[in-house]
Amino acid sequence: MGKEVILDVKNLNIAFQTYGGILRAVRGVNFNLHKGETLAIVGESGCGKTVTAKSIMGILPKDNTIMDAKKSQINFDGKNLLALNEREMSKVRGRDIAMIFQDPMTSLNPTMKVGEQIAESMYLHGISKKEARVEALKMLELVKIPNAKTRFNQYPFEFSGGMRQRAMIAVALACKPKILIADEPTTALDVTIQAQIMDLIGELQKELSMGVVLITHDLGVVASVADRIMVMYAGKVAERGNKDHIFYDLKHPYTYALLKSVPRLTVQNKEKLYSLFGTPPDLVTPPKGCPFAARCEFAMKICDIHPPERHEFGEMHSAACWLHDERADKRDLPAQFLKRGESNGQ
Amino acid sequence: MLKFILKRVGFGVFTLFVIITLTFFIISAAPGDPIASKAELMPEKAQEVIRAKYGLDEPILTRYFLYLKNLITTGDFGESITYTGRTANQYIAKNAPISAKIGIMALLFQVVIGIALGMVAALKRGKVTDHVIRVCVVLAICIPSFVFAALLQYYIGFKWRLVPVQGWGKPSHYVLPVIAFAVGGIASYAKYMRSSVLSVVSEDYIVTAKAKGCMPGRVARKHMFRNSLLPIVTMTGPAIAGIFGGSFILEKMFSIPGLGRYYIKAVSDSDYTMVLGLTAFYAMLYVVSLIVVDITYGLVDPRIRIGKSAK
Amino acid sequence: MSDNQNMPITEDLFERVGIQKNRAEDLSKPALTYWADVWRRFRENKLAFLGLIILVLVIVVLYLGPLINGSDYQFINEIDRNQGPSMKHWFGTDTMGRDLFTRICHGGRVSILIGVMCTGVMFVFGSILGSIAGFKGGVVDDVIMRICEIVNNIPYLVLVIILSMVMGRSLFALVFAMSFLSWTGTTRMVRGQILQIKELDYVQASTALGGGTAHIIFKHLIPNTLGIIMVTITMSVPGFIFGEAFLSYIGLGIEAPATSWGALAAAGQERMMFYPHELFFPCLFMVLTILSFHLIGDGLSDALDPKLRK
Repeated sequence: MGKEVILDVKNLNIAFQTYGGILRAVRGVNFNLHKGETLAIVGESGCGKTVTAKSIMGILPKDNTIMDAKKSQINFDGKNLLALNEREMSKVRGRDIAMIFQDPMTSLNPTMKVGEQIAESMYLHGISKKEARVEALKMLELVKIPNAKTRFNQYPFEFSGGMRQRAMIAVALACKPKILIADEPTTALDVTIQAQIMDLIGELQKELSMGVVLITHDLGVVASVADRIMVMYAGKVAERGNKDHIFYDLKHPYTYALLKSVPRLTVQNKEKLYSLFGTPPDLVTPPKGCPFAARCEFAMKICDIHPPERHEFGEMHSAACWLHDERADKRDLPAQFLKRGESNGQ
Repeated sequence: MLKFILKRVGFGVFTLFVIITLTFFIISAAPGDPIASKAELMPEKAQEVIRAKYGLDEPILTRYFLYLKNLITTGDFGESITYTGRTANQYIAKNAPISAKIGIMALLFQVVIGIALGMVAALKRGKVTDHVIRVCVVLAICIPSFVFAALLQYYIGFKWRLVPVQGWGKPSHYVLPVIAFAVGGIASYAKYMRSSVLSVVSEDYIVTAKAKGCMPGRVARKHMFRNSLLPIVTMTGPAIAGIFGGSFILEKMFSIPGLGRYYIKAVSDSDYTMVLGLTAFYAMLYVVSLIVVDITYGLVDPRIRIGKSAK
Repeated sequence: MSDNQNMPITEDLFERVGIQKNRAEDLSKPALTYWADVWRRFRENKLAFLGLIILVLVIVVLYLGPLINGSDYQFINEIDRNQGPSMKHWFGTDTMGRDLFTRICHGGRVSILIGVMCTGVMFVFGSILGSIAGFKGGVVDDVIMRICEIVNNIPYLVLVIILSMVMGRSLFALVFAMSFLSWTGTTRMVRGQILQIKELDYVQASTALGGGTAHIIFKHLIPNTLGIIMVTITMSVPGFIFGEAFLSYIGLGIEAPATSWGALAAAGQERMMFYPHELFFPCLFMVLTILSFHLIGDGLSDALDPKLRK
């Protein structure tokens, strides 16, 4: 793309110690983020997208998280974030990389004034309390909260849902970070408010030249906002590419199933709604081959035995699937799966 | 907020009224007529005075209103019928301050130590410190205060002679009673503070605080502490009840001339009027302390202070 | 399948198999019924299980002990006064030469009986009141809640003292005095459960399908509330045992010739400096029993907590 890479994640492996055994939540994930771009991470609940996001911020629970800083890397600003100690990491959080969460009601401290919470972001990173309050007021105006002066001294319960999410954005962007991670920022909001919030994030992104990592399961939001998309399944990356690649030139059966599942207005009256059968696999004993094999309508014998290799399809577009091997059975595949020049048939 | 306070005070007054009424009628239902039987032993003149004052010849309702009138207009809680001439007011004036001293000290210990222990246990969850604290808490809750007091008296007072076993007058007399009074409360506060902190720890806004760059110490102080403390404030009301109750037995055991000891003495002497008077006093104290606690809670929790009329 | 990982990749492996329904759903853990799961979690909680064992042991001792021992708890023997523990008197004797062990057994039966009876009254009365409030709603509910608030503001112990003073020291009087004001917690809890359940989708569905009030109570309310009820009951019994002991200490407990742990402890208290065993043994039993109830209650509430489900 020509823009500089601001975040580079290599071989991310995260596991959790649970009562039932070791749960491998993220297994060998790689991706990067460029300046000013929006990368959407898409997938079902439990696919590892939130865990990935939290690992960038370093806020996974210390006592039961298993990660190896020598084998995995999260490179930002010339440093491997996984190798930083708590003090160093806390300097990065909020100031260079910020995060907003799904439920704005529970994500704000109920007994602390909203203005104070925004100001806290700033005076944690060196600005004086007095100055921070002045800047915090400006932030409230920047996120378009009316009557900012009065609202500054109010508590979260006095705000509406949409306003709270705006306040959360103000908290996160107070230090003008280089990266914003948004974990399902609109899931808890009404549809009309969703659009407003996404617009707001887009505007601020442009103004601050921020990179945005957007975690969501809502393909509609992805279609309007994302530059690049990463589809995750069961802790692994199924497919990654830019918007056109994923929506029109998709190469992975899971991506295909996701897109098919979105109900469309053009569906004929009596057609059954497509639903993907089954549930994601247990990650304590993950399947040996491709994690999606059991639910995949195009699965082959090899899919259960060996994990698929990653195939490249041009600039920054890749998918991990055995169907793209030359030896694969290519009958009845969706048109997009086939390379240009191939036809539907042997 | 003002509305809240007024409502609460009004309700408190009503409750007080209910308690005193209830007590009066229960005591009047006591077998035999204690006032009359005691009165018969006295000289004529005294009998007339007593009859007039308590309206002995009148039906019960009249006596009731007479009592209330005395109480409200003159603050007269009642006279002893066992020891003529002594009034409840005398006992209150002389002995209540002593009980209060121990009670307040115990309350302070309970709150400060209990909350601190609870917070430490929660923050060090699962580690040795947590287990030790939890075991101590369970033991302290399951051992009744008088058993604990007996143990203290026996070992620390009697066997090791570190402090006097009983009595009143010197600072060293405070030691065992205050410990005995405070132990149960420390355990309760620790237990509830621990649960409260643990539930706050798993809240989303704690994650937000960390995501902003707060170091763990600051997260604990600024974000966890106040939010964990809120539900605990409401415990202070019943804790005060615990101290009253404790005072009944512990003052007797430690020979402390507090109000509780005289209350129990009045009970065992079947000195009904004195019991009535002191009960009215205790009821007043209790209701007032509950009102204070509720109002404090309202002041501390912004959701109540500002009212839920959001937006 | 793991050995197959080293298999060479051959052409035939690219044969299609499609969706495999039997492996597509995650059925890794055997599904346990709710109560089986609760019992399993309770058992695994060592402390709770220990509590259960202690309680069972105590009760066995209380009822079988005197049979083995053979002594009469009322038998006054001037010669053997205030003796320490020995082969003849396992826990020693009290000031009237009565065998302490037997007295503790009989007293224990009374203490636990009082605890259980008070809890029973509290529970029945509280549940009825709470149910009326929950089901009827409206004015009835308001009135009942107001009464609860008032009762909560009454200093419990003080009223208990006055009631026992006036009613005497029979078993009935004690149980009445202690239960009189104890029901507000239960009432609130039952009412809360009913309100919650009334709102639940499946209950509304059930009502829409024709299920009446009785049906709701038995099929929905009781199974859901049983857990909390058990916890509440378990945690209430020790409170009443303590209450009776408290009354004994101020001279209002159960009347002679019956005895209770509280009465024994109170008597032992007088002679603590000289014959500590007379205080120690009753207290030990009382504490053990209270402790076991507490551990069971804690274990039950942990076992029932859905957030801790593994």
